[in-house]
Amino acid sequence: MKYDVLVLGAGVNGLTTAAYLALAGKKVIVAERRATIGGLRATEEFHPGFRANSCVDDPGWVSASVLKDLGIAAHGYAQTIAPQSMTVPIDGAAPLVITPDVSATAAAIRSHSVRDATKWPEFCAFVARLTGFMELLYDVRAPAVESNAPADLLTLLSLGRKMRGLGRRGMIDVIRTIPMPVADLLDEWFEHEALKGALSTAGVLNVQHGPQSGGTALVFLHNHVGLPSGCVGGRRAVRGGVGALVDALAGAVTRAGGEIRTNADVSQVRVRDDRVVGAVLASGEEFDVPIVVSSADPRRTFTTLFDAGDLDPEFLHAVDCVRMRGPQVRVHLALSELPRFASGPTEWSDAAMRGTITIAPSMSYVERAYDAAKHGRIAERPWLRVSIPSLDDASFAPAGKHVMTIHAQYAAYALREGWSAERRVALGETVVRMVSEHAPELAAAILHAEVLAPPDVEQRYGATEGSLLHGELTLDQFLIARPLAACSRYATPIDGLWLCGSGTHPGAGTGGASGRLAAKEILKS
Amino acid sequence: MTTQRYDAIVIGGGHNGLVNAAYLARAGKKVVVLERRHLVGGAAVTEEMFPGFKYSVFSYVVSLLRPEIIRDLDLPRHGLEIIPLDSTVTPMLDGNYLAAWADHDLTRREIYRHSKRDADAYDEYNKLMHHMAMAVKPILSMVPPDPTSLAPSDLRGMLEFAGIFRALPTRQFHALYKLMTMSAGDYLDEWFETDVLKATKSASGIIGTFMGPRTPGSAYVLLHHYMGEIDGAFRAWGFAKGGTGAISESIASAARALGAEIRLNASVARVLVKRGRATGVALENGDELHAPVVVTSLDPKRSFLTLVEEKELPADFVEDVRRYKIRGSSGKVNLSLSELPDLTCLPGPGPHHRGAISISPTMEYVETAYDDAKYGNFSRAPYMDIIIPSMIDPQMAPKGKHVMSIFVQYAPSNITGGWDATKREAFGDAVVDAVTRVAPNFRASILHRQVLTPADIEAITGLTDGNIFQGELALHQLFFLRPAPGWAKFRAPIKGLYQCGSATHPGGGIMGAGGRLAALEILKDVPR
Repeated sequence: MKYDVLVLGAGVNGLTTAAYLALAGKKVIVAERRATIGGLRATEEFHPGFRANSCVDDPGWVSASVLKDLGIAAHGYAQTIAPQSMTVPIDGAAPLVITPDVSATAAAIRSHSVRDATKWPEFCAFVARLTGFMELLYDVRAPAVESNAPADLLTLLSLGRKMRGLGRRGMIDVIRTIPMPVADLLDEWFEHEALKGALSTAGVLNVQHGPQSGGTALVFLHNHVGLPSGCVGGRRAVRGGVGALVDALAGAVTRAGGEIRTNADVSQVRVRDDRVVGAVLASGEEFDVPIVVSSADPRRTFTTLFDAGDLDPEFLHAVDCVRMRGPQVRVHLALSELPRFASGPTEWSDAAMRGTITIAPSMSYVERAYDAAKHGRIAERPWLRVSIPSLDDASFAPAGKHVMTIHAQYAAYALREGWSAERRVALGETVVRMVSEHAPELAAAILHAEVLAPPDVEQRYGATEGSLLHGELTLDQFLIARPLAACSRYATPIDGLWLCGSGTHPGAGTGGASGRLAAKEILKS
Repeated sequence: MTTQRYDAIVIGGGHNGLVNAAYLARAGKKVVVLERRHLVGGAAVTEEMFPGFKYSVFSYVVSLLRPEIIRDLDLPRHGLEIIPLDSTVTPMLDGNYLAAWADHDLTRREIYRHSKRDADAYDEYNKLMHHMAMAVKPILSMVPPDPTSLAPSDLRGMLEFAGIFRALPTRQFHALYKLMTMSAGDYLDEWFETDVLKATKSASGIIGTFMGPRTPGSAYVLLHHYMGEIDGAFRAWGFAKGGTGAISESIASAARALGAEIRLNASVARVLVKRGRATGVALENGDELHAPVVVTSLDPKRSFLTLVEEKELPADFVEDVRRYKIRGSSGKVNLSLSELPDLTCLPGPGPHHRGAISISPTMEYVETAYDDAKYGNFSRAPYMDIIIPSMIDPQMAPKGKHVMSIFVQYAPSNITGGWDATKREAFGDAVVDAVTRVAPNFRASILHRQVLTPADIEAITGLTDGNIFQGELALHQLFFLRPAPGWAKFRAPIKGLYQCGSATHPGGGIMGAGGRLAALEILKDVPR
């Protein structure tokens, strides 16, 4: 069988690229190493009858272009996306629920801080204004700032014009906010510790930085791109789990005539005269194909698929310098019943339990948790994001039973003492104990627990150092520097090899935006 | 009550205020500098704290002083003499040490002793940093344009600014981008493997900031300091003969020679504003001085939140000034010594006593020092930059005795519960302990000790929170955002009121650029 293009990896971006290329008439095959598709955005069974979103709960922002171009909106995908609220536990009182309803949230904040309540609507508008601009930035490839080609200058000019559209204050806000620490940003707006603590987690989600690290305001904004105004600290949820997006994209690939092959582990990309000539699977099967598009992270792509002599040593050094550093641990719990949540004598409302319960009592709490990872340790008291997807979606657990997933930060990939089975178990127990402080009967309801540490994510999903972002999404690895300066526009030093994964601009959480832009570049050449 | 008329009044006799006054006087303006203390210099002063022992009380080395200022004001004729500090020695925990000497080959050989790879990388690194610093240098002499403005001068400025970056070869452009956005630790990780080398280099990325070597943004400060090394008149860190105060004295002398008046013990209570125009200042003693131009060299919080009534300023400007981040992170310990510290790693007297001794044995050490400060404590084991001025200029101490200047980080201005005498002494003890660990004879050699916490620095110099840069050199507080968006061109929202301190572009260090650029801007506004 002859193919025009082989796409490595059937995650969101790999499938998006494949769908675009197939729609353009290319003969495309997607090779997925695992038995199931989805990569980091899969929804999988982890205990008989119990499913969980394997690594992330948010399907991400799916741009209007992707929805329309691939026809997945027409197949019912968009309608099932619902914004989710964030639940902030408060000592000895009912939790604060931050819903997309701005005035309802402001009213809820009022009982904790009148000042913060007054500022809330203004803050939501501020976030919406800045993320609105980023959305424009995420819809085009990274500009070539050093180029003098007319097309590149035009792109720069057009970005400049979009920026001007923000008005004087808006422009200053963008320039000033992006390099800031999220702690400084939140301190400028709010005073309530619990509110700031919970919100700050959106600035450090999946990166090994603390709220006081410069550039975490960018991470905060990045994680709000495409969310409805007011849905601050919240996320999206899809019926059927994040895997529903993957299924929709896979549908688009097959409809367009593309082929998806699972259990197809690409072990080598063959290069002759700096040109891709084919790919070899671990099984020994060979493909003669002139174009390989890798949705794997840059480190994995360049350091495992090629012969030593295929790439320039200086380039490989730059690849080695890409910071990956997955800092998170995920715990999946199969529960025999829904645990009761309470703060002291106050039982939580149903709405509070449906939101993402964010246990991060203050920004310095989050910062301290980060310090542990910075020094190569596991945080004694990590911050947590807890969700119970089975409350809204029966497909996650058998009737009457429930699933709880917990994202915990921080636990360094490069642990000083090294990872071991005991350490994973102990960490799982710590996390359960922490949630139990709000849900006393949790431990008794656990039928099965799964703990995914950064090395597990690396091993199972192929994400180097367990980075769910395929490389930290921080200012120095953003836009023109993502994943590295030498290949920020999807092309690589090897002719015919392209990148399309979330290690490229605009990156993780932008539901196929990288895949779409990569496909456009490939089709241009 | 008396009143007097001037063309310009400069508030604050620190180096920037003095430079500003000198340039205005040079243009024929009748200028007066008002200094609150009994001596000029602000944070650049030499004081004989104990008979025969002269301390550079706060700022203790110089590298960034702009060469054009030295030239224009003919400072050497006014007594400026800089002696280069040749070396930096870092004692390590295992009894070894890392040294950087003035002799490049010697330094390479020294690094080679620790890592062959790093010795190779060292040259490459220096070359790249040199190129970047050279490329960025013109920015130091630029008046920051307003990126939100469409005025021709601003557009021209933005083009010039962008041009500086675009003129860089691709490799350097991206390296510069990394420097602007990364942590010093991560940046150095890309180059070197020797921990003590990285720790010592990254330490220059944290000086004066509330960041650790692993905090993104700290890499920029590496470049900020490197700038002096390539472009400063001395090509290295230097020590002024007579202490740092001698620099201020030479600028003051130049200003006086050009006709400026300098009044000491003249504390300004407020800026006089009439119908939206600055008309002069009122002193604490009730005197009023009048001038159509008032220049403040103080930090923006002091200038705009205490010397000017809030109603005279636009609300969003006041908000921006409130947001402007000034956090003191460092302290200073000055000592009189009966003998030189005898380093365990380099026993006996040696050339290292004429250079800096850096207490930065590992990255972990420096980062942990920062961790303490984040949660409102001083570092139990602090990072320190130590020099022995009496070894460079024997006039600083009686014969056979010595003075030592220790810059200490971290000492947070917002220490839990506030600074008091007990904490100050405990902080001083932590410093003495840390030095004694590397030089066992140190503790017994101390004759006098002066411990300055951020609170003391603020009380004496007036620098808010004792921050030596008048506000952090973080990316969101640089260039056209320094000190407030829209007000980076040395002007203020009140006509006739100008700013020239370290809180203006290009920022801290004994650079004088703010003072000079502000004077040039003022001269554009007022008829010659």
